[in-house]
Amino acid sequence: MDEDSSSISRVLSVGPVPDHIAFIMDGNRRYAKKRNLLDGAGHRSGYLALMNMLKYCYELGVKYATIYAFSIDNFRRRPEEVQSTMQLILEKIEDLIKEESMVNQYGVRIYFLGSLKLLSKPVRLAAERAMVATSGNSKSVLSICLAYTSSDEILHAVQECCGEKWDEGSALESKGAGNGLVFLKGNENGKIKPSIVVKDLEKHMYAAVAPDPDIIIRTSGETRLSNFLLWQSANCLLYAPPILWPEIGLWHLIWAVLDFQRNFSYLKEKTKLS
Amino acid sequence: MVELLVVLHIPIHQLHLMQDFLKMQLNRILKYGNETQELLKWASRSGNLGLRVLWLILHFAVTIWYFLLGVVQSFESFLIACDILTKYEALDISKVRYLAMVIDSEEAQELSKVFELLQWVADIGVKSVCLYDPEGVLKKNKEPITQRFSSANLSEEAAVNGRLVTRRNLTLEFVSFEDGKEAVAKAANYLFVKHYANGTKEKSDFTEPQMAEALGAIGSGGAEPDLLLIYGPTRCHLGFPAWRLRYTEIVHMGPLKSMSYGSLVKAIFKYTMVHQNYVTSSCGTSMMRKIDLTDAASIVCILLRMFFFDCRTKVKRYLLACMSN
Repeated sequence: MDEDSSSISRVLSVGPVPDHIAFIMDGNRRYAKKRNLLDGAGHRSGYLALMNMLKYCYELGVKYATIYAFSIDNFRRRPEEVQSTMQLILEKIEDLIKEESMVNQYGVRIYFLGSLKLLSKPVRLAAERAMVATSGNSKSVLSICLAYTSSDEILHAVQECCGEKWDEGSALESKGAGNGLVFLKGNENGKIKPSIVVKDLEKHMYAAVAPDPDIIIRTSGETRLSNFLLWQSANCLLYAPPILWPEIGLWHLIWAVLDFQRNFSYLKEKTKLS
Repeated sequence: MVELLVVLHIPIHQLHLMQDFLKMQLNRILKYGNETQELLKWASRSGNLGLRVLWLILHFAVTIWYFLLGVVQSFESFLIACDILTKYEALDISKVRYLAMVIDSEEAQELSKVFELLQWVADIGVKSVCLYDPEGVLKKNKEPITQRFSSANLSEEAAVNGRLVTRRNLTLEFVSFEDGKEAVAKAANYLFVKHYANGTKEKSDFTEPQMAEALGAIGSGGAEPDLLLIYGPTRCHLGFPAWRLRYTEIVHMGPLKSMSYGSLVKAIFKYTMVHQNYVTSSCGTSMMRKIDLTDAASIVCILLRMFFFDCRTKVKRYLLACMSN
């Protein structure tokens, strides 16, 4: 399998290779039902599929990979299911930090994107440990979206920008250099200078650690983005193969990359225009 | 030739549909021809010759696959439009409360195509449509488009391609790239003025309803569409406002110049079926797959009927007519 993937990588590298691929790993539970497995077994098969896909990506030369591991909406599932998923996530984060894991083999730096304060303490601490342990790696990047939604990310960025502007304004005011342009005094209107721009928001997005994705792959044939990377996917190819996540393999990735290469000049032109 | 067509009892609108079908295949050949040129340019850069040849062969195989798939899909659209594949008539349009369409800005310049597409959408029964193109071409042409589909023209009828159509009322919204990221920046400034401007920092985080209210206040509010159809060369939403795309189903329809009534009906029908299955079962995907297989079986049956039964009868009639003359 490794020989196959490295020969295919050499052929695909003739054309433009995507810099960043994102995955929505949909279909683990349906896979478990289809194969009459226990509930958590679908997610475990999904983890194995994920490790394979990441290896193929990094061997192909894709530097950034982002995965949608757990959405804020998923907290609404049954508490036992959320608990067992969190347990699995904790276990797998510990596995990733180990010396012999794929992460160190490919020099992967891990980031966790999302409202980590919504996670339980053990998971949050494990995530922080993983980020510190891999901070020295620089060959590739893996962004794991945990307790993440795009709308929460946008709100967070807006909140941070407002806080930043307020701090700037307070600093000016305290130095006596403020001239009423940052804050309204009393109820006066119209003297505010709009100062938050798109660049400020993008700086505060969780996903600012990586460039915008080139391809988003969502399995199980669903055609929604489900609140994932909505801000970053303006000029991104969306690919939705009708297989369940644990069934994904090298050929699906190859198909996605071939599609990307066929549409490369169009997507590049659209990125320049925006 | 006209006698042949009259004897074969082919309605005029089906003739137009056949013409459109053939034009679509020609456009398809031209499109893939251009793509092949792009690929050849890329492959002519320096590097291992063997790898470049293998790469071109791989892409050539993909192009053949997409071409054949495109022919089958456009033939299916032709059958739907001719009312031969009748299962799509059972479309429950009430499930599509708000339809959005992303159109490539270059293609959106051809307003006649946009009018035709909107007419089809109105004929299917959709009441509210959001039109998006990144550069705002459709926004600039808001007047003529809105006038055509406003309530004043409700009772007007016209013959379009041999089919009598009634102009219907459509509520239209025009959106462009600046209603996406730029609008969120403006909403951020609005929220800053509202919550921070009195000189004290508010402790609580902003909520989604507050953000929605801010977007509405700056003129970029609007409902989240149920279904988004992309008319362009690539399956890419081209910057449709992020805040309104969270759970929207996204379907790629191909370039605007290859648009067809049949593929529009099929896409909306599939959405209503999958949406229905979220209520009845958790395996929406397997239902979608069954529809595709049924479609393929229907096409094969119709081909058999057409080529081995109906055509034989009609050709016999023509020959008899010629002999009697």
